[in-house]
Amino acid sequence: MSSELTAVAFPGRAGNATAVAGDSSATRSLAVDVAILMAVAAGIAHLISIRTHWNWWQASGAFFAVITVAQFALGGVLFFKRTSLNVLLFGIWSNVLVVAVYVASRLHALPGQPVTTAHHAPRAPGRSWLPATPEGVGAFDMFSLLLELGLVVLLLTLLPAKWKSRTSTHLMFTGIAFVVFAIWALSTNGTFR
Amino acid sequence: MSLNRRDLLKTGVFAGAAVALPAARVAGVGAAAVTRMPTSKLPAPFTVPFTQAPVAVPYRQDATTDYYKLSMQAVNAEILPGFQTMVFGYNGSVPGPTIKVTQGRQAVVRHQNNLPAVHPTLGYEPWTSVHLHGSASLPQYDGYASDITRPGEYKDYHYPNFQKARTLWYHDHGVHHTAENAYHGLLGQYHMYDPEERALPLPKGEYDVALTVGDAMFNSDGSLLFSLANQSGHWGDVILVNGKPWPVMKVKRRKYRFRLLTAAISRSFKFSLSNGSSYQVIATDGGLMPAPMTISSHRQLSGERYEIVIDFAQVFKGQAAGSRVSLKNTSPTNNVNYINTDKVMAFEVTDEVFDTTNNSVPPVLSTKNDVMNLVETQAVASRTLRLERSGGAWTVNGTTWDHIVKSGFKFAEARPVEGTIEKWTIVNKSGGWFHPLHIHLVDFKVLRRNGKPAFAHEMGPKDVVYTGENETIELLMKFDGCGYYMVHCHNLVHEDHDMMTQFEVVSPMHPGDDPMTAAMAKSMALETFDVL
Ligand SMILES: [Cu+2]
Repeated sequence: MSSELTAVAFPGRAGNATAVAGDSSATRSLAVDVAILMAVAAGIAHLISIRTHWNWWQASGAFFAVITVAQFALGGVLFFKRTSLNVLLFGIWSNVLVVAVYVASRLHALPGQPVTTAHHAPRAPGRSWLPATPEGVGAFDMFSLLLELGLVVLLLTLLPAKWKSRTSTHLMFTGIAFVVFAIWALSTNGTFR
Repeated sequence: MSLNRRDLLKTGVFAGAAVALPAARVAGVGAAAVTRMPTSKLPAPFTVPFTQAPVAVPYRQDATTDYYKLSMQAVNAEILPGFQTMVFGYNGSVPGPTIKVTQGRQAVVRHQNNLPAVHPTLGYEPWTSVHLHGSASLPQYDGYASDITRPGEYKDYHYPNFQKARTLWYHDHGVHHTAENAYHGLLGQYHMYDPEERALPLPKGEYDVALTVGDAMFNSDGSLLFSLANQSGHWGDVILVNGKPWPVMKVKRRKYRFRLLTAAISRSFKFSLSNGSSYQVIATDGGLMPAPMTISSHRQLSGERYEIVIDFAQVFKGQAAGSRVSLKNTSPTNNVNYINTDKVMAFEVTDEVFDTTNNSVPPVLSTKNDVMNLVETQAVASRTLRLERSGGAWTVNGTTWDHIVKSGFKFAEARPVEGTIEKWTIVNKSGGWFHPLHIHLVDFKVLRRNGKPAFAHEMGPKDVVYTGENETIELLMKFDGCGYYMVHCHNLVHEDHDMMTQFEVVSPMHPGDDPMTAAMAKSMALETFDVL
């Protein structure tokens, strides 16, 4: 998987990838057009949010910057009719990763997430004043989530039949992993103590 | 380019989990359900006897001032029959002792924070700041959120008591932990009397009754369950009146005056009597209304006080002793309700003899109220406060307390000039939540709500206004005082996350006291003459 991703990061070298739907045709399919729009929209959504995330927690701001670049790159590669298997798999699994981080951040505080220290009070060693808590769910982040899920499904439809089945099975296990994570997060009340 | 049914289902598991799990957490599913005390173990409504908080006794009095000492401490209380619940009480009492003062005599309250260094289950340090809600105190005695008193420390609060008779309440205001602290019991009533109000034939003494209404949720071991899973607020499944679940109160066949304070963390109420009887509102947050208003229901949210008179001679007319009528809550929208949150308390009539004096409500109560006599044309400035959620935070005009802190406590949303009158318009453009907006220092007059006259029960001096869904409310107020004061949402979950800003009343003559530092010198000075 990682070697495939490396190849995709430099699309020009992906010559050995299996050609799939759309790759050889002169015009892009409607599904690819929609996928391009969704990738760009998801990129913009993350671009808008970089600053506030950076101010809150630099790691999250950096993560948003990487997502922005990756979504634009995905849109660009799809635009130039690179719908090789590797590109599609990269598009799917990179979006699944973003979705996974999203789900995790809404169910549990993330490792390293800043605690909320009270204003003007010193932080006692070894103890946080307000433990870091899961982030809230808003309309804007739900919109981004739906874009990413839509992208995953669209790109999935473009895969060859064998890969469709294999990838959707992996997606199902990912969904089950989310549920297991949610049950664990309930037991910790979403915070590290 | 399509998916077969099987692949679609498998993908659906993934997408469904990704959407549903975060949404479910926000809806509070699970977190509370795991350890919540089952409804079957809660007392049946109207089985626990009604009680009132003790009256605070000054430890010292001199020619001008009453001195009180209150110790905030963690104690176990039997709130639910058969269970022990750790609460934080002023002098160990929940609600705290009622302080009764007379206009013209000052009060000094030494608030000692004897709470544990760390809350045993919630893991935070319970620092405090005490706000006397309804008092035009100096900035340094107003319970400024960031002016905290940590466990092991105390602070002396000076209260001027020059205002008109009213029902005030004191409660915690410590930055970021107000919700937890107040939820654990750090709140109490404070009654101020004046000659005008004392001369009226209104119910007094045992017929003048404090009702502090709140809600709570309990873990199955009896401890308080507190959850911030729902960022809109924290809602309990047990309604508490003076710290007792759905109590029943024995009443005589005469008028009673109830000082009704809603002090829930987030819940708002719509009160009415179960048999549809009407009652009279005689006073609002800032004291007597110009005239009593007869109503059969009213809505009320966190921080609001209404003094209502219920005539049990009428309510129980023709009914035998032992008959009951309950105070109901037909909840306003955007509250989280449970099976018995529609009930508050019950009144059970007796045939006991009673004192027949002070058993009426005169048609005119107070004509001399400065706030109610203000007129709109006197306003020298108009300002708008938008209450909104932006970027995942609760804000007032886009500002949070964090912004105030980062400004070195110098940012001010408004700088009204001392002695002037202004019109403030409060706007809530959302249909998804309501906000109890509280402006410190001032009493205000509600001019209009969505362009229409204020509700009948609001036609008195106020300091908290129900800013309902899609409502725009116009207020008129005069700024007597000087310095920085907070203005914030009284849904304490919103307040802690960080829906507070401030204004500075400026005087051309002198600077205002600093809310964070001015009290130091004065409380030291007090120390030197404070012979215990
Ligand atoms: Cu609010």
